[in-house]
Order: sequence, then C-alpha cells, then structure tokens
Amino acid sequence: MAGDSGLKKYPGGVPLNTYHFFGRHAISVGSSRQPEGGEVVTRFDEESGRYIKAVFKDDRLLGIFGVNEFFDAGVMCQLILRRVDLSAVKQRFLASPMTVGRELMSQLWR
Amino acid sequence: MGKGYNTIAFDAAKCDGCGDCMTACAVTKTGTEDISRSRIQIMGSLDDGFDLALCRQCGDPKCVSVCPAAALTKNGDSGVIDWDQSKCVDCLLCTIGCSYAGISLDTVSGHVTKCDTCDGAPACVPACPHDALTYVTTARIYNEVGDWEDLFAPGLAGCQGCNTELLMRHTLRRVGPDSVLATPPGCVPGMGSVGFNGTTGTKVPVFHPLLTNTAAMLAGIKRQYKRVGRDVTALAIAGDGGASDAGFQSLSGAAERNEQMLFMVVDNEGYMNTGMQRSSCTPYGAWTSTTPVGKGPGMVPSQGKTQDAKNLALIMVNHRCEYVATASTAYMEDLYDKLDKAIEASKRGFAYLHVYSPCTTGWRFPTDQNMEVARKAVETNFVLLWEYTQADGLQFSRPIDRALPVTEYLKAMGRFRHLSEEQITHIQDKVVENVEFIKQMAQQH
Repeated sequence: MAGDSGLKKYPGGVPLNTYHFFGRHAISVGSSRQPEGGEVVTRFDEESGRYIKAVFKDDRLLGIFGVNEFFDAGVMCQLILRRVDLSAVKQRFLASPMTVGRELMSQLWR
Repeated sequence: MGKGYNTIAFDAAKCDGCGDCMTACAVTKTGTEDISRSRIQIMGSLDDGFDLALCRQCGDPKCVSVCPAAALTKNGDSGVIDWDQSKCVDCLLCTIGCSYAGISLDTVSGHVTKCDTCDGAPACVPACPHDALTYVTTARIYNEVGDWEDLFAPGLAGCQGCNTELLMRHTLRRVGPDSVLATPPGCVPGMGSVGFNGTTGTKVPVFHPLLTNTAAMLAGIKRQYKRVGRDVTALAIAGDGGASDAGFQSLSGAAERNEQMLFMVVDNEGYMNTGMQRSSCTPYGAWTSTTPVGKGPGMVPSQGKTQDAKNLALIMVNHRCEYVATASTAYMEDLYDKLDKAIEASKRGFAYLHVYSPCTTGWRFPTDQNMEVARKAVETNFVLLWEYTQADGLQFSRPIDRALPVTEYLKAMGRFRHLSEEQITHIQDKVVENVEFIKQMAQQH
C-alpha cells in the first residue's frame, strides 16, 4: 500500500533449480552473471562428464552450477546468503565443493 | 504437550574420525563398505577436528516443504522424516531445501538418501568406539510425563530461567496424587508451592513447616497416615539451607530413625530466596551477599566464601539411608531413574535425593544458560552424580574420567568472576580430592 510504514525493499532472492537432461543431472544455485570485478571459474572433466562453474566476487560465492557434480545445494545457498568469505579455502572449495561446503556449514550455522 | 523424539547426538570432542560409524551405516543400508554411501558423513572440520553431516529430522523440515511429489513426510510418531521411494521423482529439490547436508544424492542408486535412524536402533551409534555418537532417548520421559497429571497450579513464580519449577513439576507428577508435600521456607514455597492469598499451589495436601522441623513434621504426618491405614508418599522439597543448615538436626534425626519419606534437596548453594546469603553448601570462593567481594574491613580483602562446601549427600550416606543419590536436571534420564528408586525406597525407609540447581539470579548467569551450567558442573566433576544403596554401596552414575578443567564451569557464571589463580587452584584441587574420596567409598563394595 502507498505510504505503508512497514514497506521494505525486496532484498532479492537466490535462484535455485535442479533438472535432468540427456541422462545428466544439473544443479544450479545463485546467479550465473559475472558482475564487474567478479570472477568465473569453470572445471570440466571430459572422462567423467563432470562440469562445474562457480561465480565469485571478492572471494564470496554468487553462484555455483554443476552437471553430474553433486554438491549440497542448500548449503551453497547459505554460503551465498551469508556472504561467506571463501578466500582461505577457495581452491579446495573448487576441487570439492561438497566437502568444503559441509566443513563451513559445521563451523558457521550447524 | 508437544511430542518429544529420540535423536542421534554427536560429541565432536570425542570423535577421532575413524569412520566406523560410516562403515556400519553403509553395510546396513547398502550392503557394501563404501563409506561414501553412508547416510552419516564424518568429515574433517576447519579446526582440525571432526564434524558430521546427518539429517537432523527437523521439526519444520524444508526438504519436506519443497518436495513436489510428497515423497518426504514428517512421521508424527517417530519424528523421522520418512522418504517414500515410490513417490520420489529424483528431482533433488530436497537437497536444495536442506541447509544441513542431511539429504544427498547416492550416485550408485541415483536416488536421494537420508538417515532414518534405522527404525529407532541406529547402526552407527553402537559402532562408535569412542562414544562420540549417542542415541538420546530422553524423549520417552517427556512423552510419558506429559500424560501424567501436573499436580502444581499453573504459573509458579520462579525467577526467569530457574530450573526448579521443572524439577518440582516433574517430581510431583512422578510421585503422584497420593502424596503429602512439605516445602520449608525457600525458593520452592516462594515460587508458590503453598499458594498465595489463601489458595493452595498444589493439588495435593501441602504444608509449610519451619526451616528447622521439616523432616520431623513430615515424619509425624506419615506416621498418622499409616495409623489410619492410608498409603501416601511423604515428600519434602527443601532447599540446601533448609536441609544442610537450620534443618539438619531434624533431617538427620528422621534419617537415623529411617522414617518412610522421600526428602529431596534442591541445592542452589545458598539462601537464594531471601537475597542470596551463603549457606554451608555454598562453594569456596563464591560471591554471595554475605560473602562479598571487595576491599573488605580493616584492609583485609574479601574474595567470596572462604570455606569449602559441606557435602550433605555424603553425610546422608553415613546415615545408611535406604537410598541416597545426587542428580542434575541436565541429566533427566538419570534423574528419573533415581526418582523411581527413591520413591520405591521411601516405602521402606528414608530416601534422600540431592539435586543440583543452578540459580540464574544468585549465581549470575544469563537466563538461558541454566542447563548448560548444570551440565558443565557435572562435566568438570565439580558435581558428581552417584547413588547409594545399602546392598550395592556407593556407585558412580556416569564416567568421571576425562573431566573438563573446572574453569570451564567457573567461567560460566558471575559469582566466580573475581577468583584469583590461587582460588581457582584451590577449587580444582578440591574437585580432585572429592573425586578421590568418593572413589574410595565406591570401591569399598
């Protein structure tokens, strides 16, 4: 309503999806657009068909996308929402987002 | 009353990452030893310890609310989030809903998997060689107790965060309606056990003896009931002041005569109801309003209580009562076991139950920390949980090895904030001495 003192600006959301296609499984969490000053890292293993793409800004996760690469999407969503600084664990995180995500979960909100 | 559920608890401090729990789970659930398929996942934590990812069986489960196929449901009886394979469409949306990595993809089967607590007998728990995993079955007590009649009036007037109301209500529920309750001056009647303005605070006969004569009055009442042929439980709920100081003579007398009663002491280590004065149960170094902290008279600094606490429960053992035990509200299963034994023993003679009761107001800690303070007292061996019967002697109720340093307990509250290194050393030495002393008593049998 106009003039409503309870009005709050929509803070935005984290897009989430999972889907199957051609025998593959994809999970997407967050934004895939590379912001100014942002960083996009991709990894593709032809043999296993595993693909991962992660978008960072200031070492904070903005989005993560995997094909045949399983990670805990709910945990990734929390990492994005909490704007967790990943600078200390970034390389390990990219190598194994599931393991490192769970470590951070245990430390930060479990 | 809401239903309580059993749960798998994890103590990270005890875990050495051996992975036996994961193997046990994988074998039970997949028939393989592939620990990547285990539903409980132990992994290294960032501080070089170990942590786990396991379904928490949430009360408000997001996995259930996001599932488009209704394949996940909260089981109202067991509390477990059930997964129905016949409905699951393998969309993995549940893994997005869960923030705790409690449900994840098993790449071999192609389905999500999650802990179902093995229908109440989780295979991982007995597999742990270090007791880092325990299956907490306390919920049974709450569900059972919830069905019994609450014999106190609603709205007892305790301080915020006090555990005594919990203790009173649980105790009287368990003892039941065929009882007479004595509550000498202290927090218990102060909270309203004897009622306000001419009303009674209980649904059983209750009276308010003097500090000095509780056990004597109760003994007389019990004897009169026996004379007229009525089987009632004579129950006293007294504070440490009403038991160890002013009330000690009548308490000791009743125990010596082996009067048939259950005498429960709620030990908050001082006269908390009247303004936090020290009692003989107040521990060394503690601030109270009569053992203040400051410069002191004649330039002799005052640093809290200068004497050690009396160990009243041990003194009661030396009366050779039918039953003596110490308990804590942080260990409700243990408390209930002891309460049952004490009620049974009170039909034969004198039963004494000493319950440690952290005082939010008088001990100076935040009101949400009562159980944590009570737990720390036990984990540091500051408080020892044991029971005594004539047949079996004195026995510890839980392992006393691997105790935390007493500072973990002391720093949890304000009444010890002023302690010097010497005072802390004194308290730690006293804890060790107490343990050794009671160990000797335990080994005599």
